[in-house]
Amino acid sequence: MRILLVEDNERLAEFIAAGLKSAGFVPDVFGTAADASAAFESAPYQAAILDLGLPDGDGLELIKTQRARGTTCPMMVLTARDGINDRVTGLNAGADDYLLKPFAMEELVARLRAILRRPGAALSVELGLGNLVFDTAGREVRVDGALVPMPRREMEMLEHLLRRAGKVVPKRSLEEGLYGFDDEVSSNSVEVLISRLRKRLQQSKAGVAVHTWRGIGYMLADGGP
Amino acid sequence: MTRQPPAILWRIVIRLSTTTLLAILLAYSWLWWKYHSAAEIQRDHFLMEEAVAVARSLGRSADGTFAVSLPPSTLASYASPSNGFRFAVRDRATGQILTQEGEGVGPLPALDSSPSLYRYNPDGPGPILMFGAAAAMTVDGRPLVVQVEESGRDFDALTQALLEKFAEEGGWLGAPFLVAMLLVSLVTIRNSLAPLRQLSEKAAAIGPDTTDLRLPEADVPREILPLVHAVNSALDRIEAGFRIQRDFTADAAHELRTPLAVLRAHIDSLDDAATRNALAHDLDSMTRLINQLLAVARAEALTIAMDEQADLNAIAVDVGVFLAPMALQQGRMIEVIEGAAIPVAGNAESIFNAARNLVENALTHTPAGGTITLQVDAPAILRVIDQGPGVPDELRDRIFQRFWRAERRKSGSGLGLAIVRQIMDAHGGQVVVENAKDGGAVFSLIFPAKADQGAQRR
Repeated sequence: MRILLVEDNERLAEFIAAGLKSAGFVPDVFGTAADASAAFESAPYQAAILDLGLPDGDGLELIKTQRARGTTCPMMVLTARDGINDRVTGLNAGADDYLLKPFAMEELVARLRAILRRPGAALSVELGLGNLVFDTAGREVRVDGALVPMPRREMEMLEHLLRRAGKVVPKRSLEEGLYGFDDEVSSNSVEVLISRLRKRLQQSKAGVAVHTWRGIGYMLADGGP
Repeated sequence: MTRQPPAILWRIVIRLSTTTLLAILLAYSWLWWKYHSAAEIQRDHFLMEEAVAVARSLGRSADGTFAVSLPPSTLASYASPSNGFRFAVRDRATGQILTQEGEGVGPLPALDSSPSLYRYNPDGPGPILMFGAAAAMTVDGRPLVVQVEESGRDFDALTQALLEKFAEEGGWLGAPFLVAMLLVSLVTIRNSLAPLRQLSEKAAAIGPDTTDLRLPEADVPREILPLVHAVNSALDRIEAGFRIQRDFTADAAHELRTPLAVLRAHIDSLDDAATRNALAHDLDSMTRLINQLLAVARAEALTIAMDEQADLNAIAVDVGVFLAPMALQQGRMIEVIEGAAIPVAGNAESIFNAARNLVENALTHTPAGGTITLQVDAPAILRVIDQGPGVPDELRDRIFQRFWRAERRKSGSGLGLAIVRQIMDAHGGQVVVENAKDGGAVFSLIFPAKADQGAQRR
């Protein structure tokens, strides 16, 4: 997958390029906004990683102009500024994700994969965690290859959790998700669904666990229940 | 300002009264002197005219003695002892008195011209002074001198009587004038100084966190304006200094992030997993310190906009969502107990950071398997309760100081709790630490109730 990397710090660019290569990407590295604009014109990229502070311009401006020209590829911003305002400005300019320096290479690769999966990008149909695989297009859940039959509402919930695996999904956002396909949501229906899902995952020997965070939400993480 | 009148008022009252009294005194003296000199001139004229008149009326009677032929009323005024008038006709050569009226006259004066004035003091330095005029003449070939005299004491008495009369009838006009002047100055001074009271109230509110406040220059008397100007420009310079300091911390922290990113990327590219992990761990703590420095700079620069509102329940859940993965990794739990708290006037991002610092702190002190509780209480309190050993009484103030670390803090920057306090100060609230009944520490972020929030933040 061809990735455009715009970073004016040569050493950092070098290391990121190496990291991307070893993760299976093909990065093109540029150090200025002008070179990056030219690169956007000349070749199709699956994604772009941009530093905000460039010697000849602002990375945000670059994103804005590219978005205005109809460039749809997902873009990730690298920055030293971490205020919420900075983040919001970056996302409003058309960035898909925002990564604060310094960062682990693993994190960069994971985030890059995540934005590549988003709608608009090449849509990944399979979500995986541990020995569990969720086929979002075929609506199938498999553990170690074996099909796990699951009611639609539990499946929707599992997808929700799986898309944010390793992070807490606030209970409120799960409830809001449930309203979409169920008119009657009793206050404990999320709890009921979660406990059914947990039982089903346990019975099917899935190597993932649904953690309950009281008052906060739920988190799907790999590892036994 | 205290209830005592300001010193400047008293000074003006005293000086004004003194000046008015002096002016009145001066006016009287001037009047007295003017009257006195006018009266003196008149008297001298009178004496000379009288001397000449006496001289003219002098003749020799049939018996050879000298006599004056003056009108009887004039003679009567000489004869009356209370008037203090007298005259004498003397021989110029011998000084022998040829004729006289009234009491005895003084010694024969030296006569350079005629008529001429003289004065003498009959009782030495005593109160009586005699004024006289002498005219020379020759009757039947015999040189004579006419002396007309008047007692000065009587004249002074007359002046004094006149002045007393004047003071009695018109002089008291000075008193109401003085009172009116004092009243007008009092009101003027009070009015002019009233803005100073407001100024000092404003000035009292200026501190290291509110260097953006300035003294208002409207309605300030022109005389005080230079002082207000000077104070405001001093505040400008102080604020600029503070800003430079803050910006430096923030800029330095930002600038450090790119080299850290290079270092991190370099470490991640190492083949030896053990070295890689160890270095990554060290780099993480360094990154945390830099992030905390940045947070300090941000907390110091924090100002809460008038319309900013934050929901403590939502913030507690956000903090839980944010830190749960880290807690899971460390084998600890986080829970949130929502409560009926009112929305607080505040900056949600900074309150989030304050609560996050408290939970991170709690995670390091709660043993594995323990739970950190975020509890929201009415009216506007966010508590972070851990299951650690608690905070000893004597440390409850010191843990909020910058770079303070005890054994309790094995890692970390020593800035987290200082940031929390800074953020709470900016909100006009406070952070309080207590020990729970079962021994853990309870950190409470206490926000001002809605009613006194207006007073806290103008």
